Amino acid sequence: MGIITEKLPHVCEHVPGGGVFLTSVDYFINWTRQSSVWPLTFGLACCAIEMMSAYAARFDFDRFGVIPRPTPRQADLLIISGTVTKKMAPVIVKLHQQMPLPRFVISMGACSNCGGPYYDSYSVVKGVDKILPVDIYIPGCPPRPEALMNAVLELHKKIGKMSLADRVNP
Amino acid sequence: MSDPSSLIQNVRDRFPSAEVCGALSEFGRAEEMILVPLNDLEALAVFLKEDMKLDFLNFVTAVDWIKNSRFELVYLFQSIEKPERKLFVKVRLARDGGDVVPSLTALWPSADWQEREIFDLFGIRFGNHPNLKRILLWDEFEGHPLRKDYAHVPDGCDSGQEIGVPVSRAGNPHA
Amino acid sequence: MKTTDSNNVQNERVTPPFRSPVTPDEGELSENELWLNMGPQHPSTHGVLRVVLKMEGEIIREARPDVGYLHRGVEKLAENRTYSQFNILTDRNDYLASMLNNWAYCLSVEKLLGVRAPERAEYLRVIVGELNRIASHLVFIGTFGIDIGAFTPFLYAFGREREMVLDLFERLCGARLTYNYIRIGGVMADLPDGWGDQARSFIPHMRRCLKEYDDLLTYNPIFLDRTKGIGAIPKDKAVSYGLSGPNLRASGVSTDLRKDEPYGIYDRFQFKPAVGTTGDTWDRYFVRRLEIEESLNIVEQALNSLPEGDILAKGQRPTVRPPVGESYAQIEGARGWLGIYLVSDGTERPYRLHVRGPSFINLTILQEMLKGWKIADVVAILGSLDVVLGEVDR
Repeated sequence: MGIITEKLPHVCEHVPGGGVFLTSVDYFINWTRQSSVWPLTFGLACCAIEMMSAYAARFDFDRFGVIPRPTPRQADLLIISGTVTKKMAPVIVKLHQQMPLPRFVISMGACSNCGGPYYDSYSVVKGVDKILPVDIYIPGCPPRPEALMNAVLELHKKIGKMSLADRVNP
Repeated sequence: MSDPSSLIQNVRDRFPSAEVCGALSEFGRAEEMILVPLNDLEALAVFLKEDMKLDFLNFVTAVDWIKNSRFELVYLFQSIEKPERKLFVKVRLARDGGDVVPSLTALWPSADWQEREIFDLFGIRFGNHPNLKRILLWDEFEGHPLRKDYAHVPDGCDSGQEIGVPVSRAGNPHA
Repeated sequence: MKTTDSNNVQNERVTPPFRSPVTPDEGELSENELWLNMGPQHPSTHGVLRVVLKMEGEIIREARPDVGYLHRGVEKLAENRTYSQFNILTDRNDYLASMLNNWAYCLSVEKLLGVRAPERAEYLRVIVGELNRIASHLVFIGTFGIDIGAFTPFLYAFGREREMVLDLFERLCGARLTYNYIRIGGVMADLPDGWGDQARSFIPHMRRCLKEYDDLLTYNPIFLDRTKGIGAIPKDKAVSYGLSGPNLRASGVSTDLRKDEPYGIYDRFQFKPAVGTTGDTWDRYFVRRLEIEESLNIVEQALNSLPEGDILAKGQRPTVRPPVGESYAQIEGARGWLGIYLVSDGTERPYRLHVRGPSFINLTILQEMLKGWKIADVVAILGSLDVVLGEVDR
């Protein structure tokens, strides 16, 4: 898979009709990716309880192909669900780096967006985007499970626009 | 059931240096607290546990009285069988860090983490504590945040609105 | 909702000015021993608890819990908030039982002010407090099941019954998790139409479901094998380590603040505190399961005797300025004795606020308890203590 995604765009550039072929490959790869967004089983604070509600019977996140994985090496979505403290920050950076590319980050709730009710605390990171790149921010304190679902649907749209051609290797 | 005043009387008979200091507001009824000198704390704790049967150390915390330049430690001793039998005990110590408080960890293991928390957030040292290290904050943290003159050193994760005396005035926060 | 592009930016952001968690030195190990890090990211630590274990094969020789990964400095923030503003932060301490946190805090401020909540408000507090206790214990049953390896109780307790309680709360105050419903001097709002009937219909449903949990989990042979006799805490040890609430009662001490030092109007209700015998992991589970039943009884009695009247003390305004003084209020929280110690200097902000978090004090015993057990028992023992990291670290 790695060879295809890395080499294919360079090969297609020089082949007549390669662009069309690449678009079809993009479509297929994006479809598989967005149908199985696997988040890391990782909860921080209050929002983690709403995240668990989303996984549970009433909201049933599995419908969207969202199945939590306990190890970052199998996960491609990191949901920052709660207050990020300065003591926790290095751990979160490490977890993010352990995830395979492409990886996505959802910042769930006011605390991880900007510090929220702890905006003047000495030990809280005022927004997880100070330490990680974030794809989607969900407002709320805590956001409802429906809001988390909406965020994942937005992520689907975003994944749908990805192309192998403009991939940048971090 | 024994009423709290007899408990305080027993303590004062045994420790003449103990004095009643203030009271907790309890909907009109006042709950008296006693103040003992730092040297008597350990003996008092043994007395309360062994003789008065207050076998439960409910909580320990500290208050920073910066204007009087002293810390006050607040202990709540309680009986687990009869929770209405309880005694609030206060101890005062100098703010400059010269005083060391005797640790109650040997009597009540529940004091272990609470004393570490007080050390972490106030910088009050406890003698004979088995493991007096920071517990909530990380080892490299500068200062003790619950002190009233805590100066916050901003870092890359801060928004600039943090509570704390501005650093420029850290040397003399009352200037 | 804002979206940005993360895979097209370089990953180098602000380098945190602090060190990653450090594993203790290998010099402390003897032959055949190793350090094992559990957490802060681990599905079974219920949040961000880290435990460093010294292992000899499968046996734990030493455990060093490392807390503080969710330390948000609430006690300092209290000194910068007015009394009413701080109420919203109490919600987020023990986020599984927000109502009870509100209650402890408001009781403490009311003691300072000398204000008593009106009769109807006291009843409403009991109703929502006990319902919140049920919701909190349902989270425990669900997550404890997952820890042991049973996934289905999670879908039932967490996804079905707990949602019914949350529906009730949502109708009452609009929030699912952080309610801020109990206010200084009373409660925020009166019951909407039909709320009482909805709550009444929940009670028999929940009683039926408890039988279901018994079949599914409580007397399940695998569950019994994993929990019976594991991590027993004798009575005297439980007291000296400051355990309270269900963890203490599991060890055979019957003390329940609702019974033995009644606050509010708890002296008007008939109920029996659930008590265990041996203090093992199963007992700690079973005490909570019994407590749900007792809470249902209390809710039923309170709904039946709910008086009419005001819900907020007369003349109570959002800005309060208590006189100089101190107060301490403690209630029987979902996890133990939840206390708030307040010092007022006569201004509109607290001079000092201390939260006696039952989870924090209950967790002290962990380093002692884990010794000698096997690695697989760690999740069972830790899960049975039912700590909430928001309250441990505050």
